[in-house]
Amino acid sequence: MWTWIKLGGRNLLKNKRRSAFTVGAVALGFAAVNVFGGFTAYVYRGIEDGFIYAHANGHLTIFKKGFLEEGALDPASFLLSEEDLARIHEVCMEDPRVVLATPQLRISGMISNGKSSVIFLGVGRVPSDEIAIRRRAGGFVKLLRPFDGQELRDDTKQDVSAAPGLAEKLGLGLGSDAIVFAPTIDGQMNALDAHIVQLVDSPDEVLADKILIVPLEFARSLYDTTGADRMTVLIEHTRDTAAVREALDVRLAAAGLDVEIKTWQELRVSYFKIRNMFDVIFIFIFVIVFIIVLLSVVNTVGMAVVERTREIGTMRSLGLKRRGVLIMFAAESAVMALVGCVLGLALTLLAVFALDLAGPTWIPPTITRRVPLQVYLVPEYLLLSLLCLILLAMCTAVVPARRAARIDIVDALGHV
Amino acid sequence: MPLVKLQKVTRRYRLGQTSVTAVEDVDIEIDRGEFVALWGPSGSGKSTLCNLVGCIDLPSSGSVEVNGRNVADLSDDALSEHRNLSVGFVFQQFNLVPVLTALENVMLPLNLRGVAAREARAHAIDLLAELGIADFMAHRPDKLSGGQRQRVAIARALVGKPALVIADEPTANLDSGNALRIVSLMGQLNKSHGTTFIFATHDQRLLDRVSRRILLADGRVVEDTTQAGAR
Ligand SMILES: Nc1ncnc2c1ncn2[C@@H]1O[C@H](COP(=O)(O)OP(=O)(O)O)[C@@H](O)[C@H]1O
Ligand SMILES: [Mg+2]
Repeated sequence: MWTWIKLGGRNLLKNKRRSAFTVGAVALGFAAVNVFGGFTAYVYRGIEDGFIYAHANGHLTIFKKGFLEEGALDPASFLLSEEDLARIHEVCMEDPRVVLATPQLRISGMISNGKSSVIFLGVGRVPSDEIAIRRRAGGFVKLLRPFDGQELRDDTKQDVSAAPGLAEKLGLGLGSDAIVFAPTIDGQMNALDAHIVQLVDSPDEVLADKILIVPLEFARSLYDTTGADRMTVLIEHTRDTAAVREALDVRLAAAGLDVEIKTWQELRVSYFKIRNMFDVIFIFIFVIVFIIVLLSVVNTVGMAVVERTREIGTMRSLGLKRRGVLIMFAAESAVMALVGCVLGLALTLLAVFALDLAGPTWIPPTITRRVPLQVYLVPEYLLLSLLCLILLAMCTAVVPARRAARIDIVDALGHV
Repeated sequence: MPLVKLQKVTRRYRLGQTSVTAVEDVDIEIDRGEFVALWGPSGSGKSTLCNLVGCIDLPSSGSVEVNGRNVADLSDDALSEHRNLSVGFVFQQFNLVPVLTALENVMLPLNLRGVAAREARAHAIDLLAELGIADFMAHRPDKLSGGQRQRVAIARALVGKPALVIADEPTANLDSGNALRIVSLMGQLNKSHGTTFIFATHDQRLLDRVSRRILLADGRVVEDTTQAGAR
């Protein structure tokens, strides 16, 4: 094999210009695939971390069984009681991979400025837990501060956070007072005073004039309950999500809790839509790269076959088998692809580095603030594209090399 | 059993509508250790015969047997293996691989055989030394003179210790001094290693050095003489 690689390398050097064409095509293809792949990895990470950390949804959410289907009709019977919550918390924290488990209570009702009122969709959270979740974000999401104004606090129950659109509808702003109405779980009307200290980003436009975030105690008072409708669980590493879910499923069932667990992927459906879209674009780019590399390898090897007919005849007369001719050109093509990939890696690094230096910013999907645009280096992508391109180059070389393998030896030796 | 046995061998080439008969009705047997010259004017069929004997070409009719086996019955892989193990070629145009050094060219048949690189290298160096061109082993063919290239080609043909070495006009591209040296070198190797040599030439001066000469004309054997005491 070494002989073929050596021979291939030398022949490529001999025809620098022609090899350069294919090497360049592979390099550009490699860089295109990896820069785009690195960009999608960054976008996925942003969506993931945005949902899990920035919007404090955690990795896993535990509901009373049936809540997602029927909870809307009968919220009272699908709430987790204070005792349930305590036991769930205890079970969750037994798993060393769990960082934090915190209850949330979704609420809805009307918010009024005294004259007019509008509908809101709200969530009650433990402010200190929310902050703790946000702090654990990595990458650019860590830098994200998805609100204006000040943090909510555990000890000031009336301080709430509204989506800017909601505040605007009522002519309210930071520092304004409002009244929040809602029926309690028993169906009686309840009202609480609220003080807007924060204007919060909403992850979707449709919610930009609806969202109200309140301390959990505020939500509980409004609904007149000590329960919550879900337990949000944050774990150490996102990659453990499925494993922890399984473990908790078993433990919670063993503890006699009639609950179900959803992962962040299941709750964040748009993640997959965006992912699918990027995957389609990625396939598109890959197909283009594939075709270009394929064509240039066929061209380069095809020319080499014609040019080296005499050499092939000589090798055959020395005892090289037909299969050996294929291997010889496949090895040469592989060397070419390898050089291309190494150059492509340099190009990719250059692009990542340049992007770091230039520091462009943008607003990615489902993130609400301007953040630095980045491209991640994904070792899996780098390795996979290397293998794919080398394999592709080797397989493609076989097409023109087959002609070389079938060559008539005597004719080839007479070839000039 | 003769090393090579040709029976009623005819080789025709198609040229559009017409066909050219390059070799016709040839019966030859060559035994181990012979030193044979094929001679005759240009176009008499020497190269065609060399190719048939070396198993890089197949007859249109008749049979070529090597080691008692009909070449026509062997697969392409088997023929390739046979060439690699038992035949060495020396071409008129040298046909060295341009991107490989003299040493690497000589190592090629052993590489193809799967001999370990270190061993192949040692063999090749020994042979290059024996042929007096060890000093040039790191040179590429385009940096060598004609005589040096031909020695490298001979080394490549001999390195695998083949039973048969076929040389098609090995001296045609050399001046007469070099030509004589190459032929006497082949003669020595024939004696010392017992290697069978068949070489084609139209140069009469080389003929006194061979033990057997086969004269061809228009593709047929005109004369087949064995002379004792030659070389
Ligand atoms: N590939 C070929 N196609 C057509 N005719 C050929 C081919 N090779 C040789 N011939 C013809 O066969 C005859 C013998 O050629 P060759 O064996 O090369 O003779 P020599 O080597 O003695 O000069 C010549 O007439 C030549 O023109
Ligand atoms: Mg000839």
